[in-house]
Amino acid sequence: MALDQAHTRNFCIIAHIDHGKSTLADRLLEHTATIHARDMRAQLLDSMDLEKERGITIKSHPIRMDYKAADGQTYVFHLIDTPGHVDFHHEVSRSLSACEGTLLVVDAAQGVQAQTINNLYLALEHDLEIVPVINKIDLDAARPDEVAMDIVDLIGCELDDIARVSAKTGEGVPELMEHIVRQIPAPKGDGAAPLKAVVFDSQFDAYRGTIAYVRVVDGEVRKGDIIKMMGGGQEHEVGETGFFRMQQVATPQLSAGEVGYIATGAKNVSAVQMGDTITTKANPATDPVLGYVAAKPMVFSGFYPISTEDYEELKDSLDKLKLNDAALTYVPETSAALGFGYRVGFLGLLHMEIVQERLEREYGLSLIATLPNVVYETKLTDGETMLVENPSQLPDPGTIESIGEPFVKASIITPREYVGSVMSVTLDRRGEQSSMEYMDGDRVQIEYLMPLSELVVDYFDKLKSVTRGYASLDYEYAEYRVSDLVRLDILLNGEPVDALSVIVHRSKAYEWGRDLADKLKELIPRQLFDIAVQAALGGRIIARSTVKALRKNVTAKCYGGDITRKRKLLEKQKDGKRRMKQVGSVEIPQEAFLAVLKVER
Amino acid sequence: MVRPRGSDEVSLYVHIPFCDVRCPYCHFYCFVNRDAQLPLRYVRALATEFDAYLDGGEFDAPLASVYFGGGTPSALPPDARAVLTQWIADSLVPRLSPQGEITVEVNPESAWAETIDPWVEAGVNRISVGIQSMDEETLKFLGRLNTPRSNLRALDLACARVENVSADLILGTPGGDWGKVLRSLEAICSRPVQHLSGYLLEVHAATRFGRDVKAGKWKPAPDEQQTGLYLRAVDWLQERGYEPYELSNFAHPGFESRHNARYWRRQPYLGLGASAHSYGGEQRWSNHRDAAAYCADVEAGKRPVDFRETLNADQQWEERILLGLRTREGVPLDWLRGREQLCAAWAAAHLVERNKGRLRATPAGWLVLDQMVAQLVQ
Repeated sequence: MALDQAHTRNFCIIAHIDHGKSTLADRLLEHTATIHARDMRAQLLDSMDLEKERGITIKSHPIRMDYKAADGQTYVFHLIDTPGHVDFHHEVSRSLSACEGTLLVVDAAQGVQAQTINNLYLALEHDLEIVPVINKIDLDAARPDEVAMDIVDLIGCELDDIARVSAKTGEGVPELMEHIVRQIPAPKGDGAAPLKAVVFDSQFDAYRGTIAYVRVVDGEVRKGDIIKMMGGGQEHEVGETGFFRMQQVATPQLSAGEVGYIATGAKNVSAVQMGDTITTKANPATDPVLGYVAAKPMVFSGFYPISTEDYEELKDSLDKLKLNDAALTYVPETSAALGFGYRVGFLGLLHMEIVQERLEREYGLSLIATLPNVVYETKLTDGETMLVENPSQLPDPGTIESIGEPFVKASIITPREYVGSVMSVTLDRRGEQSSMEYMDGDRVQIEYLMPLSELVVDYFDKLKSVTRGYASLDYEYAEYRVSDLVRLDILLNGEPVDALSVIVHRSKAYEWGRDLADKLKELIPRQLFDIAVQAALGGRIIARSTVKALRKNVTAKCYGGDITRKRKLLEKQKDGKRRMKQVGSVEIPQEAFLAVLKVER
Repeated sequence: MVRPRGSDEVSLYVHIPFCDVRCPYCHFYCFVNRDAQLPLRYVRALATEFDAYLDGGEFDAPLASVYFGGGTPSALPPDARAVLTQWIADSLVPRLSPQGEITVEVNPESAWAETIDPWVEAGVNRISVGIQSMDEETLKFLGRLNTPRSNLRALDLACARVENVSADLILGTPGGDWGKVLRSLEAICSRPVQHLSGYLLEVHAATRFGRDVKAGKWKPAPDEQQTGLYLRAVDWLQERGYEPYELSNFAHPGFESRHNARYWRRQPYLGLGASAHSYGGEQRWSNHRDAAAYCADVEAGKRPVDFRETLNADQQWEERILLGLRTREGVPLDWLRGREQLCAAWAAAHLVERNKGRLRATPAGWLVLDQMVAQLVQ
C-alpha cells in the first residue's frame, strides 16, 4: 500500500552542539510509543559508544513514528537525527534533502549560537519549513522570552510558531507534536512518476550488502526492481525494502514521500554514494534530486601502526570503517621514520579523532598519528601544480613558485566582553576579520577569513579558553590563497624525521622551531646516549636542544631469588617501549609526534 | 613439582621475616613480631616444609649452598634460634656438598657471640653483616638500629669466627657524599672482609620512604650524584682487589657468593619460609607472604605455595639475558643474534664490552641495565 502522503511529516532536528537534540529525539520516541518506557535509555539513537560518551551524533539515524494527533488522525513521522558537528556538515546537508521541515533547537539559556545560524541557513537553502524549538526551559538560567525574540528576529516567524519544551522533563512535548503536524508541510511526491529516491546515508551489512537510506521523492520501489544510481551509474537488484523503527522493518515497497531503506546487495559502499539519486533501469527519471557533491577531505594525517606487523590489520580496519564512512579516504604511504602506514583524509579534526579512537578501541590497534595538515596547492616553476597532502613531500624550495593553502570563512559568536581576546587569538592565527555584527544586547558575531591549517590544530580550544567557554564557532571552506609558507624539519641526532615535518608560515617558523625543539626535549625520554634535537629551515639549523643521556635505570638487588618480580618489571618496560618508535638509534614516544600540536602559540 | 635438571645440586634460601625494627626503605616481607609463639612455630615449619620436599622425592640432591636471609635472622628469640641451629646441624650440614656454603645474615645490634657461635659450631661458614653505612647521620636516615661502633664490633666478631665475611652497604642516600661513602668503605676494608654488597638506594612506593618522597618530605639524590658515587666506589674497591663480579657485588677472588651465583646462572633453588621463592628449571613458585598463614598450611600438611608459573621459551631466554648481564661473565654473543647493531652502538658508548665471544656490561652499563635489557628483549 502506498504511503498516505497527506498524513506524513518528514523532518530532522538541527541544533548547536549540547542544545539537547538527542534528548529531544528520545522524548519524541517515547511520546509516540515507538519505544516503551522500560526500553528507554538516554540518547537512544546514538548507537556507537563514542556517540554516547561524547554526547555527539556521528551518523544519521532515521526512525519512523506513528502519532495520533489532536484532530483524531494518525500521522507518520519520519525523523532523521543528524550529526551535530561542523565536520559532518555534508551529512547534515544530505539529511536535510530528505525532509520538508526541521526542528531548530535552541538552548533557552545559551540562546542562538554560531552553528544555529549556519544550520538555519543550510535549512533555508533546502527550502525547509522551520519549527523553532526553545529547549531546556526547566533550567534556572533559562531566558525563553529573550531567546524567543532573537529567534523571531532571526527567521521572521511569529512568536506563536515557537515551541517551548524541556526535553529533559517532557514539558511542552505534546504541544511540539502538534506544531509539527501544523507547520511542516506534507510531502507532495508524484507516486506515478519514475522512481527518484535520494540517498542520505548508507550502512554496510555483511548479508544484505550496502543498505541505502533513502527518501523516495517520486514513484515507488520494490524488491526485485533493477535500480540505477543516476550519478554513479551502477545498477543493483533490490533485495529488500523497508522502513526504520528501532530495527529495520521490511515492507513490500517504498513509495513517494516515504523514508526507508533499500538493500542493494552492493559489496562496497562506494557503489551507493550518498547524495546520489536512485531510479529504476526500466523507467528512469530524467533529473537527479540533488546536484551530487562528494564530501572532500580537508584534513590529512599519517596513521602508522606502532608495531610494523599490524600494517595489514590497519588496512583491514580502515576498509571496514570505510564501509560506513564514505568521507574517509586513505592511501598507503611510507615514512622513513615510521615505516609503512596510510595517509588518511578527514572532514575535520573531530572526524580524525573519532576514526583514530575507533581504530584503537574497536580494532585494538596502537597507532601513531602525525600532526594533521591541510592540502597545499603548490605551483612549480615549470608551471605545474602539485597537491601536497604530506609536508615531507613538499618539493625543493627552489622549484616552488608559490604555495596556496585553503582558507575558511569562520563565524564566531561571543559575548561582547571577550571580543578583544577573540580578535587577538584569531589575528595570531592569521585571521582576517571580514565583518562584525552586534546581535542581541550582549553578543557579537564576528566573521573571519582564516587559513584552515591555523584552525584545525587547537584554535577552538584556545577560543573556548579565552572566552570562558562562551564562544561558538562554525566554519566553511572559502578558497585557496597563496601564503608565504615554508617547511620546518626536525632532526634527531642529525637524521631528519619526516613524520615531524610541518609546513608553517614564514613569520612563525623560528618561534615554532624553538618551541618544538624544547617540547621534544621534554617528550623524548632519556636514552642511552645524548640526543640532539634540531629544527631546520631549508637545511639551516634554527634551533637546538639536547636530551641528556640516561644515567641510571637499574634494579640493584635481586633479593632471595625473586626473579619473577624482576621479569614483571621488564614486561612493564617492554610495554612502555611498545608505545615507542625506533627511528635510527633514537626511540620516540607516540606523544612526540603530536608535540607539534602542543606548541604554545 | 619439577625435578632440578641440568644440575646435580640444589640450594636453599630460608626466609626469616622477623625484625627488631622496620627499615623505612625495605620492601621485603618482614615485620616486628608481637606473637611470642610465632617464631618457634615458624622455625619448626621451616624444617617441616623442607622434609616435605625431601619426602616427595624432589630436590633430593646435595646442597650447594644455604642462605638464611630476612628480615633479620639474628633477631630470632633464643628458643627459636636454638631449634634453627639444631636443624642446621642435623638436617642441612649432612647434605651439604664439599664446597658448600652456609650464610647467615646478621644485623650488628643483634650480632653477639651467643647468637653467632652456635651457628658457626653447627656449620655456618659465611656471615653477612648488615652494615649499610659507617656514617652516623646516614644510619639515622636509614632508620637503622646499628651505629658505627656496633658495626665495627660486629665485623670484628664475625671475622674472628669465619673466614668468609660479607658487608652490606647502601649508596646514594640524600646528602651521602663521596666523603661519607669513602669513610664507610675504608672502615669496612680495614677488617678482613672478603665480600661486599653495595646497593644504590631504591625508593619503593609501598615503603615509608616511598610515601615520604611522594609527600615531598625529601628528594632522592640526583641520578648523576648516585651514579658518580657508584662508579667511584667500583674503582676504589677494584684497586683494593675486590672484583665487581655482579653489579652490586664485590669480592676478593675465590670469595664470590656461591649462593647468589646460582640465582644468576638459573640453577635450581628451594625457598623455605613465608614469601620465599623457588626455581626448578622451568617453574618458579613462591610461598604466602604471611608468616601465620605459612605456618598454618605447613602444620596442616599443605604446601604453603600461593604462586606458580611455568616459563615459556621466550621468558627463559629473557631471564638468561637479564640475569646474565648482571654478572661480570656476561652472556654469550650467540644469545643476542640480530641485535649486533645495538650492541655495537653500546660498545662505542662504553656501556658494554665484547670479549671472547661474550658480551658483558661495564659498570656504567650496569647502571642502565634495565633499559638495555628492555631494548635487547624487545
